[in-house]
Amino acid sequence: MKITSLKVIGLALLTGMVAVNIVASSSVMAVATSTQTTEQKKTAQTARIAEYKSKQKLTLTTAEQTKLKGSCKAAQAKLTAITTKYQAANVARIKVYNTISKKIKTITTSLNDNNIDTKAIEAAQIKLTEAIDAYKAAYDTLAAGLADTSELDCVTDPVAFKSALVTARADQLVVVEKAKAIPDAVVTVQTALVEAKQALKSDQEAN
Amino acid sequence: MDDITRPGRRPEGATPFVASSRNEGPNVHADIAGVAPRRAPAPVAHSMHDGSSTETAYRPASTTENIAVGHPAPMTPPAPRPMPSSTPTNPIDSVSSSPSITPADPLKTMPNPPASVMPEQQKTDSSQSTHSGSTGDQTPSLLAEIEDQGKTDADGKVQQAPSSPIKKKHNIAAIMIAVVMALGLIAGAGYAYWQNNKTAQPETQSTPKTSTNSVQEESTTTTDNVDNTSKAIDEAIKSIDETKEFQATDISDATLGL
Repeated sequence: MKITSLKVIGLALLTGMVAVNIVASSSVMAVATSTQTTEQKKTAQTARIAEYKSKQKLTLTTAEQTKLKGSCKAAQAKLTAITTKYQAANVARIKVYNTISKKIKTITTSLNDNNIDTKAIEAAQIKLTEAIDAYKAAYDTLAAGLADTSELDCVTDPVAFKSALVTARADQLVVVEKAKAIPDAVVTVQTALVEAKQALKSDQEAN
Repeated sequence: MDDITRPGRRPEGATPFVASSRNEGPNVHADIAGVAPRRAPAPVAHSMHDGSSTETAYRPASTTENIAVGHPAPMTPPAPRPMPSSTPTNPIDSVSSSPSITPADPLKTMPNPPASVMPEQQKTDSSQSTHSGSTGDQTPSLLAEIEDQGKTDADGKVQQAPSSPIKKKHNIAAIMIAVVMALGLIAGAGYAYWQNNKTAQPETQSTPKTSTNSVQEESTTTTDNVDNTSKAIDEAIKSIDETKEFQATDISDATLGL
């Protein structure tokens, strides 16, 4: 009886622990994956900083370096705040793009159900999607540059700090350019929608 | 519990057993129902048959002490009860030969017969004296076994130890506690898993519903629907302004204080 009770107790506890381990293993794997990602991120950051320096090829005088060393820490704090602001703006922008894409898909489907040619709409939608993807890639580059500028040791390597900052400014211009291309793609979609509306109207009048 | 009646311990109407201080050693069983234990016949048990003692005591065979006789006159030992397992006719021999003391016939009915209790004191033997010395050292352990395994009541019946029902209850309680703990762990793990997947579900579920509803609503598409869609797209794209969101002056030297 004693041995049987011990077996039952052990089996019950083992079952409970197995269930906990199954859930915990997924979280452990996630933590391990994030740890590896952090190391990879550091390696990628170091490579990017080296690329900034080689791309900009800046030469700072001693006075400029001294001045930079004294003010770079405060500048990094401001950059962190600007990065947070850009992130919020990007999230809202992506949400708008997704809404536009869904509406276009919906109207395209309904027009197809009414046997209306939607090839022009679909082509315009593809271009819109490409423009949105280009913006996303440009923003990711800007965000990485701002993060590198904020995180590197500007006192030890003020040239790297200056190079990263200059690169981030150029990336920002690219983001604005890519963002401006999206409304142009939307205009193309709307032009195709107007044509589809005309076709639908003619079809309904004929019927 | 099984009551074991020692055969022929005392005739009917005989006085209950009272430990005799003359013939007994330490009364380790004094606390058990206030009655002295039965003890196996001692080497000096021969004196029992002298008629000099008036009391009978059961005592483990290892004891070397005198045994008080429970009844006044030497009695013819009655025939022992037939027991399911074979029992030695001479309890003392069984004690000496077997690694553990095997009780005699009456005690076979007990689930845990006290190994050291001798059923019949009358079955003494000259071998008692030879074995007493060797078993004398076992007296404390045998007495402890008696104390653990049972107690004798006033009628000389050995009762089953009261601790086994309590042990069963403890086992059942431990099992229940372990089962409850296991269920709690499983429930906690399931809740954590559900919480992790909860955030993903609404997003995936909402999308098909929206598309399904929109398709149902626009199954009969009109030009107004196209106009409405076009207006919505227009308003959405105008709500965002990249020149205000990503201003060049945000990361200029003047703004950063460089």
